[in-house]
Amino acid sequence: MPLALKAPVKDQRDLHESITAVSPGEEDEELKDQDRANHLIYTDSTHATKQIAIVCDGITQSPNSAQAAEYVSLNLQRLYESNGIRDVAQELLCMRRDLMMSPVRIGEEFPQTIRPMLEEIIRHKRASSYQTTFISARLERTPQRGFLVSVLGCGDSAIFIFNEQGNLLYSNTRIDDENQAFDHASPVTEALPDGWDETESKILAHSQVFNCDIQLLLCSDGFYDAFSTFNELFCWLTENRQRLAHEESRAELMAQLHARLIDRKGDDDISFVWLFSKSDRCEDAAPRVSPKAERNGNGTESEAQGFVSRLFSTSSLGRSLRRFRRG
Amino acid sequence: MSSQMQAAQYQRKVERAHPNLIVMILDDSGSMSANLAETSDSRFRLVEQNTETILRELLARSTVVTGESHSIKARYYLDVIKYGSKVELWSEEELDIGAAVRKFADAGKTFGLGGHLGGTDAAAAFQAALPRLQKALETSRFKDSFPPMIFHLTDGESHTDAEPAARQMMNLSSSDGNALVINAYIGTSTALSYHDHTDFAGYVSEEEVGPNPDNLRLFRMSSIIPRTIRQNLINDGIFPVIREQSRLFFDVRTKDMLKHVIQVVGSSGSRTRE
Repeated sequence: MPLALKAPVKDQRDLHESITAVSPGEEDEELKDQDRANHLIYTDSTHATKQIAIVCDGITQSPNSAQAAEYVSLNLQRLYESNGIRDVAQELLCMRRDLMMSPVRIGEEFPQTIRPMLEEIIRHKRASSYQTTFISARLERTPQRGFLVSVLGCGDSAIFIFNEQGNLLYSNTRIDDENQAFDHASPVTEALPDGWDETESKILAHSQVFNCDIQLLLCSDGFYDAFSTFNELFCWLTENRQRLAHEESRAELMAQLHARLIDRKGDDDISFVWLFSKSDRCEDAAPRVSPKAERNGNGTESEAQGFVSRLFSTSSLGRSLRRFRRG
Repeated sequence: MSSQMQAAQYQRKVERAHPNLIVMILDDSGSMSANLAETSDSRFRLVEQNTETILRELLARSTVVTGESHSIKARYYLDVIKYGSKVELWSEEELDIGAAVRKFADAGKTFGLGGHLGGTDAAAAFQAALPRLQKALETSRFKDSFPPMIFHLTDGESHTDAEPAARQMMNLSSSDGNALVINAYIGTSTALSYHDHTDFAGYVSEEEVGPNPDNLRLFRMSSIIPRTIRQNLINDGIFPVIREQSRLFFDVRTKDMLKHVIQVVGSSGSRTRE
């Protein structure tokens, strides 16, 4: 997905470079193609440069989930506005309602005896249409030249924030360190629009300041399911960085990952956005905090609280799901 | 089988390229026309009602809805064998789920059960099923699929021993693991204490099964639950506390238990997120 530069950027060091990959998997000999990814750079009304990225993964059994993933990924910026997620979720619900109200047409090839059962099945499936997970991150430079990262998400798409040495600083997955096996056994996941509930939010909202040299990886479960641990994933990324930057070699790498998935548990769409810093990023940065301090969230708490309270207008704040912690 | 070996098996998703074969061996002896304890429903009628539910579920999993259009993918195949003192085949060969549902619906939502077939010769039923299963596993359709499930439901003491044939079935395999034999015994009692499906922990040892020789036989001819099946049963709320290493042996004491036991049929296949 091309960068959308909305205004001249004051300082190129405010930007991360990016690599985006979206590779459809196969199911029942047809392309699934339900993942979407997007990446955007813009300046806000205060002339601050911000970079946001998102990965969406349409739910396999949900009709029109690819359209839902497309819609959410294109409305990435709105998600960070006050009540933005609620509004996008409600728009998905409107699309669902339109589909549910449209007539069910059963072809003549189906005998009368099974038509009522089939119609009931189709109506039931339409009632769960337009479902997608999402994981997004917004980066903005702090006065101390670190990065304030604001994460939003719903479901089992993942974010990993790490440094150049592969130390994992934050993740929404259930791992304690880089070498712990990913545990993605359950097929059950939250997703928009049903994951939005004003009384009991299942939305991830987390904000933290990091050092200047951080990298971010947002990905669908099809990507991290191809690896056993974060360490293995990190090694793969760094070893293949040059190849991932070019379309043809990236496609070859994706094909290898699909083959790996097929061996493990079955093919799936694979998508990610990888944001990594430029080499001269940290020259004028404030003294770095240690990885331990970063993991324990020695960020700017008032900024974090401000982000969350602006995002949710009610007193029911989004939960910050498991932060990476190490002693 | 070591847990390590088992962890590498039973990993296949159920999909059209690798459909799941379900063989149902259904007791249609005279006693199946009796009512299930504390209900006014005959045993065979309850079996057919709950089977209709699982057929609908399998059809739903095979139906893909895209916008306003839909299609049915042959992700499941069904082979039904009825028995009493003789064996009756419901179809010439296994039917894809669409054809199976059509045949079931066309017959008035019934497999033709009714307690019609006299005595209980379980060995004959398993011996009839065995070559059909062998032949199916030699085909490209099933040889790399999630292993077939053989679901045997009975309410009575068989006057023949089906264990040898069941063990032969358990030795058949796809590339993803050995075939799974499930036994459900309506109306029996065991040494295990539980109230309903929510606290049914499964049978791990013969001590839990108790001294009844028919229970013990069916327990021994039931497969050990693979991790994938166990996880699906827990995630779907069918048997949320069933233990690792339980056998796929179930005693059916109530109508509610029958409903959940029949749902085991739909627990095959590794599930990626749906």
